[in-house]
Amino acid sequence: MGLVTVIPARRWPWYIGVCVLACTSRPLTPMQQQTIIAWMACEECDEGERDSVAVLGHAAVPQLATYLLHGPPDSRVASYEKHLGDLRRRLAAYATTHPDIGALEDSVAYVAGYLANYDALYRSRAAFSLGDIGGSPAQLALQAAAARPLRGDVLQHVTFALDSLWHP
Amino acid sequence: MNRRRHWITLVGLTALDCSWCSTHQPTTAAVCYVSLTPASAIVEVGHSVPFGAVGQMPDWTACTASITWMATGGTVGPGGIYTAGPSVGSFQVTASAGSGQSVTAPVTVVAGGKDEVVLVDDLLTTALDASPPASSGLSVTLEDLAPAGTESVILVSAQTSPTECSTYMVRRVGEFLFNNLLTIVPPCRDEIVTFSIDDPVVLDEGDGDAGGIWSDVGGETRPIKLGSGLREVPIVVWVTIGTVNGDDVVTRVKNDFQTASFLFNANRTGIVLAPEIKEPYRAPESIDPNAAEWSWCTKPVAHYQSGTINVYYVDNVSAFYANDLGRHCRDVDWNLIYIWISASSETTLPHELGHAFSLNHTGDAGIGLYGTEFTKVNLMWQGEIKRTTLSLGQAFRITLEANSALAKNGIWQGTTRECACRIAGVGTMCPGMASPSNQTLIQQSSSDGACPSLGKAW
Repeated sequence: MGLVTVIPARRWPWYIGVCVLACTSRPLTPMQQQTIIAWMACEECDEGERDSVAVLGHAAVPQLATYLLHGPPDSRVASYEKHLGDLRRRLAAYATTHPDIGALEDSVAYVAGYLANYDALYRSRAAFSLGDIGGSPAQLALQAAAARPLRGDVLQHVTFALDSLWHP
Repeated sequence: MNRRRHWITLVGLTALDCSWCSTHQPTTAAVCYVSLTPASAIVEVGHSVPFGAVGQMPDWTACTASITWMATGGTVGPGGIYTAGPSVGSFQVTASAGSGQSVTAPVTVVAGGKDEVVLVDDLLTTALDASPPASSGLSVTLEDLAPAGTESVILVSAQTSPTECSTYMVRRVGEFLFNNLLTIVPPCRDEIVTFSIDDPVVLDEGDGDAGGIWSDVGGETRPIKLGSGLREVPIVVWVTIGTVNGDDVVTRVKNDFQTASFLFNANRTGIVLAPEIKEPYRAPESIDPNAAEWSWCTKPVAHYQSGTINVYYVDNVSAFYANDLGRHCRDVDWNLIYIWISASSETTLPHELGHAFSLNHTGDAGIGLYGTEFTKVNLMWQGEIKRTTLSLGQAFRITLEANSALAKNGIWQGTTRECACRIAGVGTMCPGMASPSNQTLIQQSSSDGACPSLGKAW
């Protein structure tokens, strides 16, 4: 089976765009990668984290597209999931001596809820930054995300980013 | 001739000698000398320190003496109360007796401030009460603390000038026992708070029987001691329904508060969160998350309860305002917090509550946004996903800082104190204080009178 038959025709622009970008872009430096991580993770982002990513320009698009389409890196998700599981166990122990805090949500649901937010945060912020950077590769990544079954609020943000896409 | 002159001289000298002897030997026992205490003192600008002078015979028995006082660098009243003037420096207090005897004590006047307090818990009361009161030049003997108090914690802050922070540190008492002595020398100002690791850091104004003395900038003194029990912090929680189902939202809010309650308890803050979760309502009512003019800290007209912390869980926030996971609206209303429900983490709520309790980001203590002194697991660290801790210094600030919601909302009605220093650009927020594991032990006073190196942690 050839590559042409595997990839639908309507998806070719996206793959071509990403391939061109990947081939022509230099790898992000550790500092540039840290700039993106800082934006993904900040709580009150008053230090220009989002703008700093926009300054990176097209070099940041492959990384942002990955976050948008696939969420946070697996290693970080696994680490956070373990942390949440540990925290939930400590919370359960605490609840046995402090019943006034009320019944706890099921541990699986507890962990899953926060993990879902973590995933959504990466995707939404990646979408915003792709909209900030603009250009065809960013647009293609956003269009690809818009076609996916994302969580409602993330989809809203993708749509917003597409609508407000900056055209250099 | 020469021989005669020699004898005359000899007799004369003998006579003089005998005269001297007759004058002094019998009266040595009769002279009432002056004994002055303390032998030296350190006092802040504008503050007072009491001196005492009594007549004392050479055999240590008391005698009546009419004491007159003199001082430089300040004034001293008839009762021996020395009040420092406006200048720092080395001065002296002199007590003179009518017999012509006098004695002088050096006085060091140091920069003033609001930052001297000793707070002790029941474990350490005896030891600290037996020591000189807290002030500049504090010297506390800790030998009585062992073994019961070795796991207690002692917090020290020192300040090199009224405007410049020096260091803070937190150590276990057991770590001081190698020399049983903790000394802070001028011009540092000092603060010590101790508490058991098993007890919450809860501070009560007491009657002075078991506490240290708080001396504020006006020279007024108030006793403080540690108490017991927890402080309940009422919080009104407003839940708006957006894209997330209302029931799911409430479950999530409960998760957040349960987690926050656990974390504040585990970090011995001495507070208990008491959220009142209101019936979810559909936004916008008084706020419009999708309106371009809406911002995180627009204060709602409705659904707001004054005098207590209001936490708004909002959803469906426009991308214009997607820069936050949560926000404490310090510039609008200290009691106003927003949490973005569809993006926030399990520690966004305790992080924002930490702001309401006067804690700033750990990186805002003058060491850069992502400072190196705190570990990334601190709740006030920005942008991490494994935060669970507060330092003991932060727990201390939560209760005592005047800008904490506890004091602002009347939950804490005891004495408050301002941070040892304000960090430029962040207003009245407190720098954090860490308990780093790699910090060197406190050093003893340096020979030149400068602040000893207390480590570099905030």
